[in-house]
Parts: sequence; C-alpha cells; structure tokens
Amino acid sequence: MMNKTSICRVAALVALNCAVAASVVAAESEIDLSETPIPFLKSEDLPKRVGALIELGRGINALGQLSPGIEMPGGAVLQPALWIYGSSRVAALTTDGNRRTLPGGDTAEVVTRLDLFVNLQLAGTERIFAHFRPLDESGRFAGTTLAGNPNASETHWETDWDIESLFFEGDFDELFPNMDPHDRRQLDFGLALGRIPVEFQNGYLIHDQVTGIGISKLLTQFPGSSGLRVLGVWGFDHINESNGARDSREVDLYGLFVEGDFPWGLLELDVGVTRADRSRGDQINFGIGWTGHFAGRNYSLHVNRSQHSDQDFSPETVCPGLNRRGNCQRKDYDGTLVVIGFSNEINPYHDLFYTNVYWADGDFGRLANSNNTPPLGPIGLAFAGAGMGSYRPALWPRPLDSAGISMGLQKFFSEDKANFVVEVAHREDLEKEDEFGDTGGTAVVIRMQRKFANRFLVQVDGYHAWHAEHDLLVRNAATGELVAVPQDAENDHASSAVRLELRMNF
Amino acid sequence: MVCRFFVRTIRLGASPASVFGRIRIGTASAIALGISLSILLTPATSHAQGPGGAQPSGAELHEQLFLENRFPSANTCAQCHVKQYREWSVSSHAYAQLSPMLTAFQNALNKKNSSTAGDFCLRCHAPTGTALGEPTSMSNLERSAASREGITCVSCHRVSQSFGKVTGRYPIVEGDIFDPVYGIDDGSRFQEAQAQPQKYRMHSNRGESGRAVHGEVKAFSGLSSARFCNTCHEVTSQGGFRTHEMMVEFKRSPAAKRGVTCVDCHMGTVEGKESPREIGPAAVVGGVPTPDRPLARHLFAGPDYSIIHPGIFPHNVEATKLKTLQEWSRFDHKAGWGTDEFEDVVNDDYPFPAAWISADDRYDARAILDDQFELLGWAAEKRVEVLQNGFGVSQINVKRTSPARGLNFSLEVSNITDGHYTPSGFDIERTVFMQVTVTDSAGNIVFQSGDRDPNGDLRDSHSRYVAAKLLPHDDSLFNLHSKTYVGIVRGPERAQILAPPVSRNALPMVRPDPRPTMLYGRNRNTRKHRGGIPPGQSRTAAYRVPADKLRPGQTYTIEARLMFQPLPISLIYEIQSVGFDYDMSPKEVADRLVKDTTEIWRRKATVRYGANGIETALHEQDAKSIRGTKSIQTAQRGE
Repeated sequence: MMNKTSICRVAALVALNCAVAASVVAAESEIDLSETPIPFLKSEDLPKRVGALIELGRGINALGQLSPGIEMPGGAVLQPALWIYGSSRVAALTTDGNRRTLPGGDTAEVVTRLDLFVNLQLAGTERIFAHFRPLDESGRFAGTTLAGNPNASETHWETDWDIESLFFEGDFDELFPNMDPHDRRQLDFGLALGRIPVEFQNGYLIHDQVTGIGISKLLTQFPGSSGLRVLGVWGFDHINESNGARDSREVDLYGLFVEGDFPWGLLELDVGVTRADRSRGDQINFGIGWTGHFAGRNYSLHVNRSQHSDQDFSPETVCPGLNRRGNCQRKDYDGTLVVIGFSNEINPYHDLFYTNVYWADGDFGRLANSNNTPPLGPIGLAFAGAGMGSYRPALWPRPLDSAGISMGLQKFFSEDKANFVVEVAHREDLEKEDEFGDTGGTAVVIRMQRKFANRFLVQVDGYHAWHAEHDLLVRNAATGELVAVPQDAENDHASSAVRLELRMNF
Repeated sequence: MVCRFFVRTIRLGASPASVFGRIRIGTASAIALGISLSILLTPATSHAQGPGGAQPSGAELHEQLFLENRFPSANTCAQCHVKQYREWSVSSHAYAQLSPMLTAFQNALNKKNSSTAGDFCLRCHAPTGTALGEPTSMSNLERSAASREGITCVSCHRVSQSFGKVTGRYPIVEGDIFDPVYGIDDGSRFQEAQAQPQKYRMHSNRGESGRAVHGEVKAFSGLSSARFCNTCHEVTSQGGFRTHEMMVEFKRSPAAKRGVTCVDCHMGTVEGKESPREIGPAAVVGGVPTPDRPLARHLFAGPDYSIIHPGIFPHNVEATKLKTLQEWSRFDHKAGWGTDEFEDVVNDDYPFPAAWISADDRYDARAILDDQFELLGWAAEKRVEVLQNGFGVSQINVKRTSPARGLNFSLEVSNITDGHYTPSGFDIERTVFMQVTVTDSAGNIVFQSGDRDPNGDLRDSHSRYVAAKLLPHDDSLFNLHSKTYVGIVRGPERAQILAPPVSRNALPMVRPDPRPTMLYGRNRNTRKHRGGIPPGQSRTAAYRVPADKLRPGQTYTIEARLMFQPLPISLIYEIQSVGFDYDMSPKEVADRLVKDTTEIWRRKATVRYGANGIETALHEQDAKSIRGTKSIQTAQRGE
C-alpha cells in the first residue's frame, strides 16, 4: 500500500514539474508586444450580454438613459431596480464512497442545484439582497439516484424556500446625505442588517449566514497603513455551531474584524465570541492573518484559535446539543489551526502553482459554520466537496489533531475560458489512537472547467484517495470502550469519485 | 458629423444654435430642413469637405441633429464659452473617452465577463454615449460628438442634483441649447446679459433667428461639492469591487475638515492647490464679453496624457471643420506634412491619402496642429504642476554602514496634499515609481531599479520578461501602484491585471456580490490593495547596492527620479486581443505611454566609497524643491 502511494506521489510531482517546464518554454516566444495593429473589436464580435432572468428598472450594467429617481427626505436619491439572477447546476456523479465523509458505499446519481439571487438595488450603495436555494435542503439535492444509497428513493424532489441570506446594506452617509451637506463629517459607515454571510480569515474563523447587524468603517490615518477597515458584527439568530448543524437556540455572536492594507501585506486581526445557554456553551475564536506578495510570489499565514467553555453535558440526554461529534462525545472545540500558503505564477500565461500546509492541534472549530464548505476546504480541492450531491471531500476536512499539505498546478487555456487543475494532497493524523482512528490519507484530485456559449460552464471533477490503514474505532454506548470496526470491502483503504457538471448562469 | 454640420452652417453665416432654433419648429420641419441643408451644403469648399472626406447623408445629419437636441456637443458651447472650452478641450475629462486604453479596457472586461461588465467604465467616461445607448464597443471615430467628448459640458451642467456614490449612473437632463443649464451661481449675471439683447444679440427662444443660447442658468450649489465629483470619482463595480475611493479618502482628510473641496484645488489658478480663481467674463457672446466674475478653470490637470493623434485630441472646433476624425488620423504630422521643409521637396507621387492631397489642406492642418501642440505643452506643464503639488520627495539619505553592507540609501516620498491619497482615483492602474540608477565614475551602471523591460514594463511580477525568467525581478522596486488581488482556486490570492476571478470560475460574470460589500469594504474574490499614501504620511524607498558591486576608492553617482505613468504597460498586453482604436498597435500604445511618463522630481547624490564604507555624500539638488517635510508643507499652505 505504501509503495503504491509513494509511486503515485512521485508520479504526480514529476507530472507537475514537467507541466511547469513546458509552460515556461512555450511562453518565451510570446512576450513582446505586437507592432502590428490588432483589429479593433466590433460590437458584433463581443459576447452577447448575459442579462439577468428578470430586470425591472435599469438592467445590470445596461446601457440607456437613467431614471432621475426619487429624492427621499434625508437627501438620498433612490433609483430602484430589481434583478433576479443566479445559476442552475446539474451534475452526474459516481463515487465509491469515502468512509470519512460519506458512509454508505457506492453511489451514482444525478443531482441539481438552483441558486436564486434577488437584488433590489435602491441606490448606488443601497440594496436589499436575498439568496434562495430551492432545490436542495439539508444536504439533500433534487435528483435521481442511479445506484447505491439504498436510503434514497430513485427520484427525489427537494424544495426549500428557506432563505439562505437576506439583508439590507448601505452606506449611512448615502442614506442621509443631508446630515452632512458640506462633506466634512465621516458618516460613511458601511451597514448591513438581516441574515448576513459572515466569513473571515479565509473562512477558517467563521463561515456562516447569521441574522444580525454589521457596521464597518474605513480608517485612513492608521500609521503605516493605506487603509484599515474595522468591522463589528452582532448576530442574534441562526448562528450555527462548529459542526455545521443548524441551531435554533438562543445564541448571540459578537465579532470585531480588522483588516489593513500595509506596504508589507494584508493584515487581518479578528476576534469573535458566541454566548449561548449551557447546552451549547460559549466559544471564543481569534485569528491573525497575513497575506504578502514578494518578487511575484504570494504568501499567506493564518493562525486561528478556538476556545470553548461553560457547556453542561447532561448524561441522560444522548447527544443533547449540537455541540457533538460523530460518537456523541462531549467536545469543546478547543484547538488551534495554522495554515501557511504559497502560490506563484509560473509563466506569462498566468498558470498557477500553489501549495498549502496546515497543522491543527486539538479540535479547532469555526465560531459558526454553515456547513457549506468544510473547515479545511480552503486548504485544497482534496479537502473540499463540490457543493452538491454525494461528491464529498477526498480527505477528511476536519482539522482535529492533524497536519496536511496540498500542492496543485492550474493551467489556463483559450484566454482563460478553460482551466485544468491537478492537485496532490496528504493528511497526516497526529492522534491516531482516538475514536476516529487514523484519519490520514493521500489523494490526487483533478478539476477541469470550460466556458461555452457565454452563459454555460462544464466542469469535471475527480479524485482518487488512499486512506490510512486503520480500523475505525467506535465507542460502545454500554461500556464506553472503543471498539474496532473494520472498514468494509467497498471502502477498503481507497476511494474515488468523478463528476460531470453543467452550469448555466442567468 | 455634427462638426461637419457646423462647418457648413457657419459658412452660411448662421450660428449652429440659430439653425437648431429654427429646426425645433417641428419634427417635420426639422427633417425637411435637415435634408435641405445636406443637399444645399454638399458642394462645400475643399476645407469643409476634403477630396476623400466622407459625405454625411441627410439621414446622418438628421440623426446628429436629433442627438444634438438631446445632448448638445461642447462645440455648441464653445461658441460663447471660448476660454472654458479651450481649457476643457485638453483636459483629462475631454480625453476620458478618446483614450484607446479605455476602450480596449472596456472591451476586454466585457469579453472576459460575457459582456456583463456592460457600461461599467463608460458611464463615467462617456456619460452621454451610454445614455444614448451607443454600443460599448464602438470606435470613437464613429461615436456621436457629445459621446466622444467624454465628460463634456452637459455631463456636469445638465445635472440637477447630487446622486452620491452611483459610479457614474446618474441621468443627464436631456435638452437642446435652449433648455436650462445648471451652475453654482444663481444665474443673475446671465439674466443681466439676457436683458440686453441689443448688446449681446442673443435669444433663448426656439423659432427666433439670431444667436441662440440656453434659456436659463439654474442654481445648483451641489455642483461644487465633493459629493458631486464623487459621482464618478468613487467607483464600485456592480460586483462590489471598489476601484476608486476618493470620497472615502477626502472625507477623512484635513482638507474636508477645513471646508476645502475638490474644486478649490482643482479649478483654481494653481493645479492641485487651493488657489484663487481667475477673474474674467464667463462668456463672450458675439464678440462681446459678459461682466467679469470669478472663473473656474476647466483643465482639471491630472496624470493622464494623450497618446493619440494631435488632430483628434485636444478637441478643436477648427480641426473638426477641416476634416473628419478618420481623416485626421491619417495626417502624418511626424513626416512634416504642412511644413515648408516637407512641402518644398515632396514629390508629386507621394502617397497622400485622398483627404490630404491638397497642400492647402495640409498647411491648414499644420496651423491647427501648431495650436494643438501649444495647448498640449501647456497641459503638460500643468500636469507636472499638479503632480508636484501632490508628491514630495526628500533628498537621498545615504547610510553610513560597514563596507560589507555595501551602499545603502533611501528616499522619503510624501503625500503633500491634504485632500486625498497620492496617487488617488484609478490607483489600481496608476504607476508611481522611483527610477534609480547608481553609476561609477566611468559611467558604468552598477545598480538600477525602476528600469524597464523591452516592452516598457517595470520589472515586477506583471512583466512578461520577468515571468518568462528572461529578466530578474526588480526586488527593490518602489511603486505606489495599488494592485488588484484576486482569489485563486486554492492558496494565497494573486495579483491580476484584470479582475475576473478566472482561477476560481471559468465563467465569471459581473453580478451583485452575495456578501454585503459595503460592510466588508470589498468583494469576496477581488480586492484592491491600497498602495497610495494617505495625506500627511510618507513611504520610504530603500535601496542597497551589494558590496561586491562596489570598489573602494570609487565615486558613485546616485540618481533617483520619481515618475508617474498613468497606466502600466502590462495592461496593454492583457487587453490587446480586443485591439486598439485608431488602428494603433500594442507596441505603439506602449511606446507613447512610456515616452511621456512624467518625471515629478529628480534627486541626485554623489558618494565616495572608501575602504571603510561611505566616506562622503554630496547632494546635488535645488533645496527649494525638496518637499515633504513638515515645515515645507506648512509653508506651502501659508500657515
């Protein structure tokens, strides 16, 4: 097994190096600007504008005379326009299962996903926005199961008109310009109210849609900085827990998120707290992020820490709260996650090489988690799913006492209308003897995207993963002892999946 | 076409405005008159219609009249507002739409985004063109007059209210010459002039003959507010990418606290400084000046400069009378056409284009160009003025270090405005860099930074020579360019010249961001890393020449030049596939951009490098020009 893994790793690295070298050589012949005029693009040669599904009032970035608008008592001039747009996706996929991310064996299915965005633009900076996903609910997507997954009916139709996000946003100064007729006061706060997507530290610290209010301000006079944004959020509803389960209990979230542009890079200093009853407990997360660019290379460092406290675990209640793991063990989400990233363009075609390394101590958990993307999803394609259906991450995407690396190469074609990614990733379990067993593994992942006919995209994803040789340990509910459960034959140390997706934007 | 129409009307002895006045009698009359005029004026002299000149059809003339009645051209306003027209004609506002970089940039964005970028750039660069619904990808040679005039008279003076941060999406009030215009005063001076029809021989009534002028000047005090200017100078894409943040910068500035606004520093007699207004007549009507008043200068000097044919820009009423823009673009002024030196020796079989066969035309064109060059020269002076009032550079500070550490020196670059960052505005493309050369006594270059690759690019990560590893990366480069960083499929964001996040999504479209971008201050995938210097702050450009490049006993000369190039050359490569207007090649565009890069300040120092390191350091510079220190800033403000 190890030999096989090693061979694959070496082969993948050789392939990466060959591709890089080939790209550099091919590019050298096309570096000079042409001295011959290139024909000016005619209007008819431009792609046809992809308008929104519904455009009332002026269209999105559409030409034509504009309405004089309606002047409000505070001085704001509203020029309302309603746009409904989004994307429709259908994917066929087959997977032989993944004991970490998809128990249940082989699956083949066709699934759909519809993202509908409703944007009521009120003025330049003010709008009301809503996001719906009507064809999936709680991880189940409308579609047809072709094979496997005996729990699912052959064809299943999911409808869900729950709101993913719904918020008003604006600039206070623009809402009430008459409060500052001489432009001398700094009233230009950014505001958002409603169910707001909240994401910081590249999604490591928090990634959720919470109901609350946010306010921000840009500071320009911080020494050495060319701009410092300070953002505060108070969330009071829909604050999901670290494992992504929806939480209907009373929870408050307070966050202060600072982001500054400095000559040496982007600095992020974030802290957030959730306060809840004792069945959930309290949690504080803080993170430091830095992204810098030197000599054409891109670097990043994110250090995030989560600390959980004041949770009561009632023995008579089996897995009472949402703060639970697969084995229903009390867990407090105390942990640290360190991620170091590097990326580099390898030739004049802007082809990319990237690598990310992480180390997780303890059970780091997001402050709030929508479960749309796994916590380690930003590390590599191998740690992320595809956002629909049974195509799950090739490697276990939970930080929990582990370390890992991803290395990828992305090549672009046809003036960026197509790209191909190949990635090699590895996860090493640092606590193999806990009830989760050895969660390590190695995966090779590919992704290919191709745009066509202006509004369509075809995407192919696939992976093959080799999982660590270790039995799954399950805690016996009666005795409390850990019992080894052999992996079933289907999932035996390896898993793979492939999917083909067609997306249409409207 | 409108210009050609003016030529003819003027040759008939009537003002264009008066002709429009008659035409507004009725639609049918207008059509009839338009057709009649076109027939009547067809056999115009060679000045009005060169031998190869395109003949506008009656329908074209009618269309132009129709457009003129919606959005009058600046040429119409030029009849009376000569001074303002001349200043504006060479301004960045007047160049905004004519820039071949702008049109290519817009086309490239649309090409990459399935045309969903739409009107994004053009709402500000061609506000009348977008209102008219002109296609985004349309050669300026074919656009309507007011459209290619960019930010033309009506772009500000036919706006009745402040719309705030709308990224140029504001309606211009439609109307012909007789409809009201908006100004900062109450229009009383205009009313005085209007009350003296015998003196000024003007009228504001459709149907009357004589010199037609706007019927009313309506007061719109917001016209001089920062909020008004930032209708276009605060720009956020529909996707939430904030590209211009001048209102944000201004609101936090000392200038705002003092009550100084944009126009106080950018429409006075000194570019880039709060300065008094010139006094003079707002208009000269039929040769008679109106009463004196403070005048706002309409040059709006900025860092941009023209790279197109001098017959096309600056805007020039006489030039448009002589030839069409297409014809002008074929006038080879560099070969000396229209000069005695050329015309005295030119052969009969010289391959002139049909429009320029006549030597008289060429001489007329040369006379116009001489005026154009004079105007461009004036604008160039003012460009340096505004930039020098924006940036301060210290003397070269040479550190005395051990010989093993080589030669270490630095310069401090300061923002000496108190109203906004420097650079500001479209700072995701503004390239303000230090060009540094260290030479030994024999003139050999031992160190350089801020030099260019063969394409003209700086040796940063966007240089294709650097990307192809044919030239080393300029690790010492000091550049205040605010780069655009875009998220990639996985791993740290990268710098991109154009913003579409193609690494994450091969089907990028400009749609409202699903996150509240006013809250976050940026789009999820794309952000501007601000590189500008806030008011009152400075940045240090530091350099180190390795010891192995130096020889003890040698004298070295350090020369540092702070340069301003409005757009990076790498942008040309990125957008060239859509072609450049006026049939310009990518290389030609690059060469012209590089050629006129503005030197803001130059500093020079001579150092003697001995066995113990730096022994002496002498500065060669004009002490008066060293700016950026607190005392100098204070002195400049007259405090």
